[in-house]
Amino acid sequence: MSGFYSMLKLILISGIVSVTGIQSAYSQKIKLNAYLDTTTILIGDQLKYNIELEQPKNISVKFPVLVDSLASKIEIIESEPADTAKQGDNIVVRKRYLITSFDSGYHKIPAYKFAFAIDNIRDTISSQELFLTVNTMPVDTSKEIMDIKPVMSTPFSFSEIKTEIIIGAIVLAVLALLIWILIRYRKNKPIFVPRKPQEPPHVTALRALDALRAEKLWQNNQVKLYYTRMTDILRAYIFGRFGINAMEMTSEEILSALEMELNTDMELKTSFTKLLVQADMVKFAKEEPLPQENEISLLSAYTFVNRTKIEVLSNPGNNTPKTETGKE
Amino acid sequence: MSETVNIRELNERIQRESSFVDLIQIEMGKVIVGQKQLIESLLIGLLSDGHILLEGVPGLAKTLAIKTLAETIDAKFNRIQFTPDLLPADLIGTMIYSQKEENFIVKKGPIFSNFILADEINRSPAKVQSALLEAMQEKQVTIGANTFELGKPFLVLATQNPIEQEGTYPLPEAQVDRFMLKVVIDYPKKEEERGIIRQNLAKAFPTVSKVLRPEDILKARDVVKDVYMDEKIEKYILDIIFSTRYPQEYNLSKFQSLIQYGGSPRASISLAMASKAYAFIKRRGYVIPEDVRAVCHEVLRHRIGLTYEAEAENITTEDIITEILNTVEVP
Repeated sequence: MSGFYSMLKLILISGIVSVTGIQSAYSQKIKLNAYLDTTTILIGDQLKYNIELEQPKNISVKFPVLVDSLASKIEIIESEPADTAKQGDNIVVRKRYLITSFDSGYHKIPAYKFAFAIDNIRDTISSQELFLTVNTMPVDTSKEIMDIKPVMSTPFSFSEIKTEIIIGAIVLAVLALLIWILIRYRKNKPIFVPRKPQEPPHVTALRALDALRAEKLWQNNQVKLYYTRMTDILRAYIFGRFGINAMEMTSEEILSALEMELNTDMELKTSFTKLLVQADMVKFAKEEPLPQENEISLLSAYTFVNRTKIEVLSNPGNNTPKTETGKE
Repeated sequence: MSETVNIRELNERIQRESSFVDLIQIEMGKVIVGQKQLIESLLIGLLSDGHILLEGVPGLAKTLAIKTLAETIDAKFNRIQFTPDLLPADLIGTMIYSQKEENFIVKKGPIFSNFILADEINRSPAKVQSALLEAMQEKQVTIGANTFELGKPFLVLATQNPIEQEGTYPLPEAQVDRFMLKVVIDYPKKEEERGIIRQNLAKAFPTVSKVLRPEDILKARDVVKDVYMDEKIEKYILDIIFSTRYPQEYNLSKFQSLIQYGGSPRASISLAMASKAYAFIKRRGYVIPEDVRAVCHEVLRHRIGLTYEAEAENITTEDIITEILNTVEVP
């Protein structure tokens, strides 16, 4: 019996020894290193807390969950995702935390436990404790308390004062108008002057033809100028009366543009065509027509204006003006 | 008064001298259906000693027109197809060794002709183009140590593919400027095309008679030079050309950013010459604004350079010339 107990005891002891041996063998293969970028910072400065874990591939190591702070006076600003790299048969997991502290003094970062499991056996491995010195700004107590920066002065922008400017401009304009009205009133002058009606094109043309006749150009051997002026007057009239850009048109184009108008009066068409052809001959072919021909050309110009003009007839009983063509 | 008599005399002279214009038009009309503008442009080029650049799709009777014109004038015609491997010597000729004479002899190229159809001129590299354009300008060709004068009249009608096409060498602006006219040919009208079909289905293709000798053309050119051009017309031509260079001075400020370069002095000369030739064709001894306007598009369309902005806005030189003609005051 004593032999049986001693055998059982031996089995238990050897079992415990073998499990512990496996654990310690793996624990030795897992290397954990925690370190800080610096051990001294100025209050509010940021630094990194680095963890490097080297482990065999087949072991799952669980990192501690660090959310807001590493210790009571050390805060985590940002947690970077873990970076895994191969290193021979092992893998190296690196994780970094951006930390800071707003309390001066000597702070301890505790050792964190990393749990791992091997063949259904769980164990932990701890990081080393670290210390961080947080310095504060030296304060000169002999001086009075002052702002870090003076109060910023910003100039006025247009958008801030545009309403005032617009109102001011309107007020000035109204004042100027009132002063002008007052002056006109005192001088006994009308405040609203009716706009002068635009002169009908035929009136301008007929007046210009009268002036041309009075200048006696062809009588003074200026036949070319006489016909140039005459055709210019007619072209300006055609523009005013028909809205055709006759100044930029050749004689042929003018006749073509006026075809509809002239086809209703063949006599007018013939005389106007003859006038334009005659004018072209004088202007571009050094033609010197007979004196009678010059007179006839001017008469043709008068006839063209008179027969194609639109007259505004004012009716005393009715404010609406009536129009009438000059066709006889 | 004496000047007036001269114009009248000139008119009568032109009436006499220009009778062949109708004859040529009648003869060409036997073969060419429609394409009146092309025939008129050929005559303008012929009468004003200017070369013509043609643009149009294939099959519009470009070759036939110039060949027919050559036949009516009893002149020599050659067609040169420009290809990428064409050499200047293929065009103007070269020196070849004669075993019989034991010496180098000159072998003249196809350029030695009165009428040349340079087909697809932009298919050839620049050196061939410049060889042709030099011959066009100088009216003579040098082969080896010998200089040969080209035939009289000498008219080059070059066709050009649209430059967007691949494998083409677009003519530089300076060389395009040497063409007096650029004629853009469009498709014939329906009725005209019906006539073309009937003509080609007939048993015998019409032939033309020789109605003119090359000497008559040279004589007619002298008459064309005598066509009277008044100062007002000269001013009108200058206004048109200057409005392409300085549009802002002619109430055309909108074109300032669209025109890269305007017409050259050669454009002014060509416009004046073409206007005179057009007046001659119309049996007139003097030029009127209608003549200038009639040839203006053909003289200027290849001489105005457009900016990228104009191209982006799809504005063509045609639009610009039309607007200029509608804005510049007619005398």
